[in-house]
Amino acid sequence: MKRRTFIVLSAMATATVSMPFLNCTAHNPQLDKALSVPEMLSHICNAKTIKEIGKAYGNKVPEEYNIKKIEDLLVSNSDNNTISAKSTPGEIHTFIDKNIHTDFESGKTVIVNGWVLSVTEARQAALLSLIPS
Amino acid sequence: MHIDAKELPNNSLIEGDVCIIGAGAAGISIALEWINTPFKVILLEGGGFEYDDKVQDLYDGKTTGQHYYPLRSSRLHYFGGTTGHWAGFCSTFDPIDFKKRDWVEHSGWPIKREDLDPFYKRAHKNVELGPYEYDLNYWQKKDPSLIPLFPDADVVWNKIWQFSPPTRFGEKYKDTIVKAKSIHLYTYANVVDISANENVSAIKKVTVKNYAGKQHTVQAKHFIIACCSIQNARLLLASNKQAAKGLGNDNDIVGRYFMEHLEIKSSELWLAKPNELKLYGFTFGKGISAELAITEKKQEEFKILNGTASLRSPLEISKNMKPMIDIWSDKDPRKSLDRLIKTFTDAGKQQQALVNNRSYELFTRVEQAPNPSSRVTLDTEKDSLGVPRAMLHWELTPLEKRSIRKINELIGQQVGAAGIGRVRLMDYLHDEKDNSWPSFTGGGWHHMGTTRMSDDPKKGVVNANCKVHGISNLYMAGSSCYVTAAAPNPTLTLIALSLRLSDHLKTLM
Repeated sequence: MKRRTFIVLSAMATATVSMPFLNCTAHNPQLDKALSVPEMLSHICNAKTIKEIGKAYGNKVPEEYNIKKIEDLLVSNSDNNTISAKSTPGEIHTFIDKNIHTDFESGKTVIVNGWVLSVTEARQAALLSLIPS
Repeated sequence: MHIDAKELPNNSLIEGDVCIIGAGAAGISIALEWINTPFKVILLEGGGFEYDDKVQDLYDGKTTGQHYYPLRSSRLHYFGGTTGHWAGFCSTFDPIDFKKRDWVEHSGWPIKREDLDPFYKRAHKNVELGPYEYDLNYWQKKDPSLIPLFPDADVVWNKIWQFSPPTRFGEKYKDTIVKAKSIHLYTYANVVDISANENVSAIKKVTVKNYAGKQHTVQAKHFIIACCSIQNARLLLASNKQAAKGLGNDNDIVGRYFMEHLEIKSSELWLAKPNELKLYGFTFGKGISAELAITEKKQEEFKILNGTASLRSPLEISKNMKPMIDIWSDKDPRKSLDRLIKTFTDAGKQQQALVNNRSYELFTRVEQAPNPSSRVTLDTEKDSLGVPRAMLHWELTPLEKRSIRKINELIGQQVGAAGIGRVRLMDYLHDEKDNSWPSFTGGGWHHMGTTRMSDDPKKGVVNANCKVHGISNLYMAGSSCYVTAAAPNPTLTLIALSLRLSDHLKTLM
């Protein structure tokens, strides 16, 4: 599949979050970019497809479908661990990766456009579909 | 000993101790067990040693309901039966397949999996399989490169298959049967009627005919019908001179509960890294392969049917392949087989040229829920020997579709948890409320049910020994006795069940 564009986008997002943050409010465009990279999907699909998945998730769960809400849901987990704009790319990656794994292990999954996804990565796709390109 | 029933004087009387009707995998397997015994076994085969289109036409019939393959070409009617074109896929039923499951109506066999284990082991020899081993660890010790996508766990496990060469019973066992003094094989001996005693409590004789215009009578102490699920039911239903609803059919069960395996492409597996998936590959006629299966615990938790998903086809190839239901559309089994072989040969060549593949088709085989409305009945039209033709009404339920969806979802969750990729369900599985079936829905040419087993005559046609309820000397052999269909192809299990029946009969002689 055509995914070169998205891989570039992913790399840019990772680079962006590594910059020091001055403003650590919950809604942070740079943090959003880092959070909006569903890594496994980015190996499989292009950005357009992931955005479509994100929109479909938004249709399925409309109450979550705004940037603020999704960001809130992505930066914390059931263990009450959180990440923030101060977190390093490695910390964000580890945090999200662990949550995705936990989702799959616990059956916290959702089928979106046929894809069997962890709720966390579906939210990542939703976030990607919401933030400006 | 071999006798061509066309060459016998008309109205010959043939007598023996045991009469086996049908020389396919079940009938021949039973006959082999009686070589070197003091008993005279009559083995009746409707066809000859080679394909004969006039004989094959006796299997023609209409179908209604869910679109199905032509009945005329879905079974072979000559010595060796459908092993003449089977693909040799073998695996055992799981313990859960024999249990009563409260979420699968009409489930529950009167026997357990362990009752069949010794017979499975013997059946392995009949179909020239390797050791009776279906544990992944066993095969991994032999070949460490057989690496599963994820280890067996409490959701998904790797179900092992073995592949018969495949054994063509007609070729493999012809000489053995023909040379056996105790086996009297009659070819071109189509049973057209079964006659019982006055109160229909025992079979007295069967009438055989052939297209040479000859008619003969066969008498024996015990009769075994081993003609395949559709023909087994047809023969009982058509033998209705003394019992209006047909033999063994006082409770209107004969022909009902016809089951197939739904074999259907169901999802896509996308891997992060290329992987040849050697453990899941398939080499025709040899070795082993694994399919992804759902644990008993999860089947119960989600109230789904048993099923497995294979990963044998790269997506790049499978997406261009015609569905089986379209390939196998000719009434002539030779033409349908040619088209099937060409399809797979072309696909095999493409697969060899494929490098660094990381997407595969998940192809699900799921048991059909036992359904009394899915059934074989008699048509008003008769075949050339005067027997009413079979009519098949194949009817599925929403449970099959929900099960396919859940099986693929569970596999998708495990693939995700293992961090190796993602699974995408096919379009027809997206809407949970949609119970319709896509045009490419097909079966595995696996006919089961129709004379199901039960200790209760009101719920089954045969008892745990495959004896027809109410008739002291009539037995059914083969997959028609299945209560549920399980996930694997039926051949290995039907041979095991036939060997068990044979052992039981010996205790009565």
